[in-house]
Amino acid sequence: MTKRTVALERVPQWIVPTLWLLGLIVISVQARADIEGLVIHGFASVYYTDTTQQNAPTGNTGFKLDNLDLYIAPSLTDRIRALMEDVVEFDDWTKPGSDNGQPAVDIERLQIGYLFSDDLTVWMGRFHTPYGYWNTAYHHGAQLQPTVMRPQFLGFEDHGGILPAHTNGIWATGRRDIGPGRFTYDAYLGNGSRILDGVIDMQNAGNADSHTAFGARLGYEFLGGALDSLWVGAHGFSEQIDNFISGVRTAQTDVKVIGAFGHWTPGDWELMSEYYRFDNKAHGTGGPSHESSAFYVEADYIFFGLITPLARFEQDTLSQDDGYFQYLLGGKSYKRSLVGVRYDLTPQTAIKIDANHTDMKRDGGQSYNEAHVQVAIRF
Amino acid sequence: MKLTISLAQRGVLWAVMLFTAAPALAFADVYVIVYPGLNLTADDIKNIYTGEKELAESTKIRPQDNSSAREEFLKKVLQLDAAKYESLWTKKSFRDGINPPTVRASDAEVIAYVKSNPGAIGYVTTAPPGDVTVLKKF
Repeated sequence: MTKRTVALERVPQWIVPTLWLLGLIVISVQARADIEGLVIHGFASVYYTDTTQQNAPTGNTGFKLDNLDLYIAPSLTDRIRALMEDVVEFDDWTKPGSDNGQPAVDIERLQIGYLFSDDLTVWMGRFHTPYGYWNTAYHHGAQLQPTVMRPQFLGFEDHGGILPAHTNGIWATGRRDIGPGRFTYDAYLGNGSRILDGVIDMQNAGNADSHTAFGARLGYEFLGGALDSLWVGAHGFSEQIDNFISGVRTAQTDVKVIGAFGHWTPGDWELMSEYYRFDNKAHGTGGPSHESSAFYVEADYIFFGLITPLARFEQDTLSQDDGYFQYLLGGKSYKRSLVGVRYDLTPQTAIKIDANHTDMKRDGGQSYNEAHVQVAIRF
Repeated sequence: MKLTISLAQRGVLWAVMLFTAAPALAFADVYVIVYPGLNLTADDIKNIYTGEKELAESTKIRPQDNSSAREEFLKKVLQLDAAKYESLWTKKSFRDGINPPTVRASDAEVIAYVKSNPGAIGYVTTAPPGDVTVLKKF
């Protein structure tokens, strides 16, 4: 052991991370004078779960750390901008019986964009895949979303989701005022996803399978009048997704999804719904199509701007003959009824309570009840 | 001579003061001002302060908030309260990577910034000087 090593061992363990954090703060403060938006924002949430599910992939009854989400959105010039988001997660969705609750750091978004006009911004990097409403509106912002949990089928890739929640590629987005409202569009192209041991992987390190994902979302938002704030639209994407078990390719599936969504806040109501229809086929076989579907409907009502009772019904019906759902950890059909209430203690702090009954018997699963209490903040 | 005022008279005096002062506070004028020559219309104001419009032709718009006049501006122009405005910008920043307007402390600070920065837009409650353009008075 060298003298230098001995000297380093005498340094208290908290010194290095503390100095690193102080350095980051100093750099941020100095840089802020030059780069607009270099302020760290984020979300954090903790919750308690009580479940009757046996071998639940989300873990057992008890207190849980949800996630810590940090993001910055620097405007580097008038036209060039960036969006970077890191998340520390503690509760990965795992196969029943596996260990979970281990912390993991994910680069959620790393995207650099150019503002061509108010009608067009082009981003490149890893972004939230633009489909439906929930995935781009709330994502890891637990304090923003009305319920404790996302609809299960819209879960993150490593939490039982059945859709690629992220894409690594290029994304064009914009809006234009037309008629009594605003036309919105998103179009993207990126690395095709793959399934690795039951989890969708969006391939951050290159397109190993050379399959391209592409998709689009078109919408119209009413401004003023009886339909003020109603945003409705359609979405769809297509890609070949291969399944790998321990590195061995076991299935190749052409995945095609189309659907629709709506979000509306008339007065103190918030209403939202999303629908997805899958038409998947084994790649290169000319075999039969396997049709599946997923949807949710949710209604919330805000009393005094503080208390929001809510109800949601969600269901997916997934073909087990489909090589895509066959291997996904979350690829089993279910239906769930959920009721809950959200209390906004402050504009930045929400306390949420909800309870659900979930039925997964269609594909041989369990029927169970769950309740959650969550405290979620933004800063 | 010693002036004595009874409790009832004090009550009446306070009521009169409040009734005369309240309208002045509630109906303070809000002037939305822009850098001279910036090509915007009054219809653009709401879109700018909600992050939906970022460019005036090829010029980047630089909206400024004014903490001394914000409540009045939000109420009259955007029909929002401070909490909803903050929530709107949290969502905008998180979803689209667009940052909220820079906050200035007073009319004087807003005027000083607007008159010297192309693309600047702000709002004040006192009649502005002639070296900025008044887009609309609310």
